[in-house]
Amino acid sequence: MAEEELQKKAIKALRLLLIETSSLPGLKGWELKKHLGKDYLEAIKVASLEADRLGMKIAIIPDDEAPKDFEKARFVLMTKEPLSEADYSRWLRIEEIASLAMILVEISLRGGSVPLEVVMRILTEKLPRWRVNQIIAKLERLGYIKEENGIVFKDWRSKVEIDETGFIKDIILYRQDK
Amino acid sequence: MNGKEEELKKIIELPEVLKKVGGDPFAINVEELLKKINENKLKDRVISLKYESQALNSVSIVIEKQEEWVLDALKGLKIDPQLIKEKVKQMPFKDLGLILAKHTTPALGIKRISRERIKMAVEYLGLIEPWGRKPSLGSVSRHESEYTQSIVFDKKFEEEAMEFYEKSLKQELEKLKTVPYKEFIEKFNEKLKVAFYIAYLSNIGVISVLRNPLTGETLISNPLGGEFESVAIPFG
Repeated sequence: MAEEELQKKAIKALRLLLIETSSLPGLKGWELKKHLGKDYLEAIKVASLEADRLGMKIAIIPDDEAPKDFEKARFVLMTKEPLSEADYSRWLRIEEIASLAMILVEISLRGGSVPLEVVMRILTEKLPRWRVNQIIAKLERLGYIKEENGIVFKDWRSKVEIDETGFIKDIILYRQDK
Repeated sequence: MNGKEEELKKIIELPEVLKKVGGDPFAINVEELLKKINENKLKDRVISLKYESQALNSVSIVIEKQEEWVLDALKGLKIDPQLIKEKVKQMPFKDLGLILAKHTTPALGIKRISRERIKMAVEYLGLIEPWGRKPSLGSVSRHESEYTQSIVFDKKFEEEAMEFYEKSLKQELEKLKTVPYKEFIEKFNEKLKVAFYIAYLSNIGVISVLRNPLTGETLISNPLGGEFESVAIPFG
C-alpha cells in the first residue's frame, strides 16, 4: 500500500475510533475492516504512531470467546497518561471510585472473582445498603465490573483502563501519614 | 439418576467447574460438601462407596486449590492478603480514589446525536416557550397532541409541578445534591407526568437537568446557571 494512502487510512481509523457509534467506545476489528479494507491492521499500526504523538494510544481488547481473532477484538483509543483526581471525579463520585477500588482489591486478592455477598458486606461497612446497590449498578453499567450468578468479575473497562499491578503495589506501599 | 446421585455428581464435577470458571476456591464451603457426602449415601453399597470416594477426592482437590491460591498470593505479593484488605478498609476514600486514578488511563470517545434524537429534540423544543414569555399555543399545536398541551400550559399543571418539587424533589436534592433522573422517575407510577414536571421545573429555572457526556447519565440538580445549561431529554 502506498505510504500516502496508508497515512490517510490511519487518520480515518483515528476518527472512527474517536466517535462512538454504540454504547461502548471504539470499534470491533470487523467494523474497522469494513471501513478501512482488509489491510486495516497496517493502518492501525500507523494510527498508533499518530496517536502516540497526540498523547494517546490504541488498546486492543480481545474477545473473551475468541482471544486470538482480531476481527472480534475491540480497538479502543485511550489516553497515555493516567487520570488526575479532577478528571475522575467528572464521572464518578469519590465514594464510587473508592468502592471500585475496594472491589478491585478484593477481586485481585481472590484470583479474579469475588462473591457478590462479600462485596456487599465490605461496602456496607462504609456506606448505606441503598447507596451500595446504586454504586454496583453504576459500575456495572459503565463496564467496570460484571456480575454473573452471584459472582463479581472485572469487566472490560477495568481490564483495559486500570494497571492492576501498579494499583495493588501502591496500596501496599501506602502510609496513612503521607 | 436420583437426587442423591445427582448431588454427589455435582460434588465430583466441582474441580472441573472451578478450573473452567476460575476464581476463588474459598467460595466453596468444604464443610458443607462433606456434610452432603455423608447425607447422600446410596442404597447400593458398592455404588455408594464408588461415588463417595470420587466425591471425597474432589473435595481434596478443592482444598489443594485453596492452599495453592493462598501460597500464590503470598509469593506474588510477599505480604498477607488479609493485611492488604484491612489496610484498604482503614484508608480514607479520597486516598483510595487518588491511587486508583493514578493507575487509570481512560478510553476516549465522542458521542454523536443521531438524526432521530435531533428530530425528537426539535419537537420537544417546540414545547418550551422562551424565558418569561406568556405561554401561547401557537406553533406548539403543530407538534404535540392536545393532551401534551393541556399538561404543559394548564395553570393547574404549574401549581402541581411546584407542589411536586416541594414535596418530592426538593428533599432529594437537599440530601444528595444531584439525583439520577432515570432512577428518580422510576419511583413514580405516572412517569410521563413526572417527566413533564421535571421539564417544566427545569424550564422555569427551579432545577437544572444535566447530562454527563461520558456516562450518558442524566442528573437533576439545583439550578446551576452560567455555563451549565439544562438539556432537553426524551420522555421515552
